[in-house]
Amino acid sequence: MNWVNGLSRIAISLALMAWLAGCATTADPQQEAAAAREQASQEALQEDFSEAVNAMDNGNSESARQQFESLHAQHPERTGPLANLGILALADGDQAAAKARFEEVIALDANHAVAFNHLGVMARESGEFEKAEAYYRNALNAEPDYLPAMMNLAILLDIYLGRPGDALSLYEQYQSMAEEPNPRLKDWIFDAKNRI
Amino acid sequence: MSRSRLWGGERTRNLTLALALGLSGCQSMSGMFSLGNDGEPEPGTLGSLEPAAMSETAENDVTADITREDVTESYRALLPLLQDPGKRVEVRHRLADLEFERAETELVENAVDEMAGAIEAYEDLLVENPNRITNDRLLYQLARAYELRGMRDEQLAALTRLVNEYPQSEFWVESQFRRGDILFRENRFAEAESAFVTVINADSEDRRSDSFLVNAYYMRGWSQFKQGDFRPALQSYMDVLDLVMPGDVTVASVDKQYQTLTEDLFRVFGLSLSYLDGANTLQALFEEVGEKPYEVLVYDRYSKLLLEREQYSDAINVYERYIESRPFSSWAPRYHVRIIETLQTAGFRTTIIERKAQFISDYGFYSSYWPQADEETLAFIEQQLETLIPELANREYALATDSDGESEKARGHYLAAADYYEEFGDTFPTHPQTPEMLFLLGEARLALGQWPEAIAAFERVAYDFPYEGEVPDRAIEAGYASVLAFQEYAKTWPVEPVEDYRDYAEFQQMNRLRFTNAFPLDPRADDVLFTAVQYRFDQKGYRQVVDLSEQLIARNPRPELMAESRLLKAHSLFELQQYVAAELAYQEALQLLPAEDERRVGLVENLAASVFRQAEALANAGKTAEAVSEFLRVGVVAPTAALRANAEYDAATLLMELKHWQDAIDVMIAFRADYPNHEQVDTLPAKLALAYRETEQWERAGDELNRLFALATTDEERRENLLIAAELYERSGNLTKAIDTWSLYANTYPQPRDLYMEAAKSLSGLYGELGDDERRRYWLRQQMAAVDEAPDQADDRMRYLAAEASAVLAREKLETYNAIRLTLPLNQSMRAKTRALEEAVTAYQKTSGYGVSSFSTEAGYQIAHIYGRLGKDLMESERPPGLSELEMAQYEILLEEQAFPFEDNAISIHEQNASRTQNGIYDEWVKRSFEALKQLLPGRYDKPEILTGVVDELG
Repeated sequence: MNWVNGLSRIAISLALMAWLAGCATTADPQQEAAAAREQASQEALQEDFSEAVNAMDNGNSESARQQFESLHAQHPERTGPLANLGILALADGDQAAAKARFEEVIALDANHAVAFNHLGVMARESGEFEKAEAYYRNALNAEPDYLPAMMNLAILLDIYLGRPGDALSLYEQYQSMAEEPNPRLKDWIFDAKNRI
Repeated sequence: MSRSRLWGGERTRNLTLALALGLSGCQSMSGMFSLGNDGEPEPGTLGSLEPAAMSETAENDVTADITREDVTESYRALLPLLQDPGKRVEVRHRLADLEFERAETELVENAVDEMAGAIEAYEDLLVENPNRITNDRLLYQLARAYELRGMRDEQLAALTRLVNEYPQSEFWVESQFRRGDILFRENRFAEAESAFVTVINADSEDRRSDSFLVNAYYMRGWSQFKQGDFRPALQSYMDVLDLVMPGDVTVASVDKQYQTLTEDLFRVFGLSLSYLDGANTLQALFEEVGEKPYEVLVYDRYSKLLLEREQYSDAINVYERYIESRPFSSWAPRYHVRIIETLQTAGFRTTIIERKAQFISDYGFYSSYWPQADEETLAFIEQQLETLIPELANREYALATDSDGESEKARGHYLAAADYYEEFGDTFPTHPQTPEMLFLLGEARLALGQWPEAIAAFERVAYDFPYEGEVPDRAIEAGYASVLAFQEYAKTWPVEPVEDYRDYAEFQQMNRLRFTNAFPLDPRADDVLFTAVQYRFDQKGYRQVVDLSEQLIARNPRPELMAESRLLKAHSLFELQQYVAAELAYQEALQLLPAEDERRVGLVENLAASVFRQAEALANAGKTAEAVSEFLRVGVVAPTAALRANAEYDAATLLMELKHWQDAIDVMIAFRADYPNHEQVDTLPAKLALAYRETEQWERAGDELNRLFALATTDEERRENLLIAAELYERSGNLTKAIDTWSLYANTYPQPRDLYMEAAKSLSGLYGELGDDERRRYWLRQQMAAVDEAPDQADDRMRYLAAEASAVLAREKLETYNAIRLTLPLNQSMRAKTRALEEAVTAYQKTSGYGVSSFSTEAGYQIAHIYGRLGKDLMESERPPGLSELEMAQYEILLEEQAFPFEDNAISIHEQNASRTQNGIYDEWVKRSFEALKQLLPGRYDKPEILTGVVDELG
C-alpha cells in the first residue's frame, strides 16, 4: 500500500511540476496541438454518446444499440455505452446478455450504482433474493442517495423477504429524498408499519 | 716304462737290440692267462712266460738293418778283449740274453727247443757270480727260460730264490705272482694264496705292481675257493670287482684286458655261492659291505649260472633276494620279469599269474615304485604292463564270465578285471588299446552293478579319445552303452535322497545329450534324444524341450517319434505361453497322430486352448476387438473342442464390452442354440437383456428378463428380474406385456415400497395410455397409500410420487369443480359447487401434505385460486329475474357478503404461498400467487421496481 501511495505521490508531484512549468514558459506548439486534438476528440466522443442516448430516449433502440456498440468498440474503458447496451438487452428480454454487460460495467467501475441496481432487479426476478439484496446494497454503498436502489431494496425486503421493518426506514428515506415520490408510498409505509 | 704289457702282449719281437741301449731293456711278457679250449675258464692257468723284451722306447732306437746275430757277434768279439771281470760278466750276461731271445724266437717260430744254451749261460753266470747284485735279473730270465721249456719245478725254484734273495728287486712282485701261479697249478693252493697275498700286500705299499693287483685278488679268490674257503673267496672277488668296475655296471664297460677275467670271476663267484647258502649268502654279503655298482651283475650272473644248471627255484630266489634288498632299484622290476620268465622256462606255471599280478602291483601305475622310477625303467615297466595288464584283465574277465553260476566268485573276478582295465587306462591314457580296455572296464562295472563307474568308463571311451575321419564304432557303442547303463542305474535311484536323485537324473540327461550330439548319425540317437525330450518335459524344462524336440524333428525320425516330439514341443510351447507357436505345433502333431489315437481329443482341446490363450492375451492387453476374433477362431480351428463354447461365450462377453451389441446378440443366440446345456447358458439372459436394451429391442430384452425371472434362485432375484422385465416391456411399448408384468410385480411384491410405488406409477401411466381411468386412478391412489401407510418410511422419491399422484387426482377434482356453473336456483348449484370445492381443496391439501415443494406451491395456488374464483363466480352468478332495483341491490349486497370471505381466504392462502420466497422458493406457482396478489391486494403487492431508462453519463 505504501508503495502505491508513493507512486501516487510521485504522479501528483510530476503533474504539479508540469503545470508550474506550463505557467512559467510559453507552451510548446506541438504539445498544444496535441492537447487541442485530444480535446476535440473528447468532445466528439461525448457528442456521439449523447446522440446515442437521444436515440434511446426516443425509442430508437436499434440505432442506439449500434451507436453504443461502436462507441464501446472504440472506447472499451467507458462504462456509459456498456451500461446502456445492458439496458437495451434487458428491454429485449435477453437477460443473459444484459447480465454480462452490467458485470462488464462493474468490472470497469465498481461503484456503478445503475449497473448494480439492474443486476439486483434481474436477481429478484429469478428468485435469487439474497443476491438481489447484495446488489442493491452495493449500489447504495456506491451511491447512498441512489433512489431506485433504495426503493427496490425496500420492496425486496418488504414483500419477498418478509422484512417489512427493514423496508420501512428505506421507504421513509426514499420519501424524504425523492422529489416526486410515488403517491401510494404513504400507504405502503402505513401497511408496512401495520405488519411489523 | 711300459706298464701295459708286462707279461703279455706280443709274444715275439724280432728286435735287434742296440748295444748303445745297454742291458737295462724291459721284459716283454706274454699274457698271464689262457683259456681252455672248451671255452671254460680254467682256474689257475697261466700264460706262457715270455722272454724279456726291449721296451717300446728302445724299439724306436733300433736300427733296422742290425740283426741279433750282428750284435751277438759283436759281443762275442768284444769278450776276449775285456780284462775287467765285471765288464766281462755283463757282456756274458748280455750274450746269454741274446741267446735266450734267439732260442725263444726259434721256439715260437720253428717249434725247436734250443733253450739249453741260454739256460746254461744263465746258470753258469749264477754259479760263477753267486753274489752279484743284479742276479735277480738273471734269475728272472732263467725262470722264463725254464717256463718255455716246461721245467716248472726249476722255474719255481728260480723264482723262489729271486723272491727270497732279492726282496728289493723290481721283479719281486711279479715273481711272487708267478710263483703263486705255479703253486696254484701245482694245487698248492695255500702257498699260492700266500704268494698272491704278498702281491696284494706289496701292492698296497708299492705301486710297482699295480698291474698285478687285479689278478692277484682274482687268484687269491681262486686259491681260497680251491681250499674251500668260499666265504673269504667272495671278498676276494669283490676286491677284483671294486677295481675293475668302480662305477659302471656292464661287463662291456670293463677294461678289455679284464673282461674275460671278469666274466670268469662272476662264474666263480656263483660257484662259491652255490657252495655256501646261495642267494641268502649273496644278500647277506651285500648287506654287509653295502651297495656296490656291480652288485646287480653278481646277482645277474649268479642267477644265470643257476639257470644254466636248471636250478630254477634257486635262480628265482636270487632275484627275490635282490628285489628284497633293493626294492627301488631299477633292476627290481627287471628281475621280477626274470622271475616270471624263469617260471615259464621251468614250467612252474601255477604261480606265474600271481607273479604277474605282483609285478603290476609292485611296479604299476599305482605302486610306490612308479613315481621314483627313472625314464628307462619306466619304459621297461610300461612295456611289460602293456601286455601284462590286458592279459590279467582279460583272464579275470573270462574267469568271471565262466563262473557266472557262482555270483560271489564271479564278482571277485569282475572286480579284479575292472581294476586291471582301469589301471591300463590310467597307465596308458593315450594307448591305442586304451579305448578297448576302458570299454571292457565299463562291461565289468556293468556286471558288478557299479553303474556310475561303468558309465564313466563308457563315457571316456565314447568321448575322450580324439579320432580322425569316420567315428570309431567302439566310441559309438560305448556312448550307447553309457546310455543303457544309465537306464539301469536309474532303476536304483528311488531309494536315494530326492536331491541326489535329481542330480543323477540331470547327469543322465547330460549323458543322453552327449550321445546324440557326438553321434548324430547313429540311428539310436533318435530314441535317446526323444528320451531326453521326455525327461526334460517331465522336469518342466519347457524351453529346453522346445529346443530338443526341434533337434529331433530336424532329424526326421520315424513317424511315431516325430509325432510324439511334436506333441511334447506343442505342450511345452503351451506351457511357455507361446500360444501362437503352440497352436502350430498342435496342428502339426495332430496331422501326424494316427486317427485312432486316443489322445487326439485332448489335443484338439489343447489346440483350442492355444487359440483361446491368444485371445485371452489380447483381451488382457486391451485389444478387445482382436481378442474377439481370436475367441471366435477357436471354433474355426477346433470345431469339436469343448473349449469352443467357452471361447464363444467369452467372445460374446467382449463384444458386450465393446458395445457391439448386435454382434454380441448374434453370438449369444447361436451359443444358446448350440450349447443349450452349457453351464454358462443361464448367464446369457442378463447379457442379452442388456444388449437388447442397448439396441432398443425392449421386448426381447423383457423376454430375457422373464427368463431371468424364471431362472432366479432367490425371491429377491426373481423380484429384481421381474422389475427389470416390466421396465423393459414398458419401454418397448408393448402395453399388454408391460401391464401384465408390472401388475405381477406390484401384486407380488408390495415391498419394498419404493419399487412398489414405481410399479404403481408405471401402471397408472400405462392404464392412462389405455384410457382405463379407473385402473389409472386406482394405481394413483395406490401410490398415495404406499406413503400414507408408513410416512416415516417414505423417502423423497416416494413422497414426490405420492404428491404427483395426488396432484393428478386433485387436478381432476379442480376440473370437476371448475365445470360446475352457478346457475339458478343458486342454492342447488351452490351446494354442488361447494361440495366440489371441498373435494378439490381436500385433494390439494392432501397434495400439499406430502411436503413436496413443487406440488405444495401448486396446491397452495390452486386452493387460493379456487376460493378467489368462487368469490368471483358468486359475484358473476346468474341474477334471479324479476327483481326490483332495490331487491337487486339487496341481492348484490347479499352476494358480496357471500363472496368476500372466499376472497379473503384466497388472499390469505396466496400470501402463504408467496411467503415461500422467504425460504428461497420462487417457482411458477409462487410467481402466480404474486401475480394474483397484485390483483387481489395491490396496495401491498403491486409495487413495481424502479429501473433507470437510460444512462447519460459517458463514464
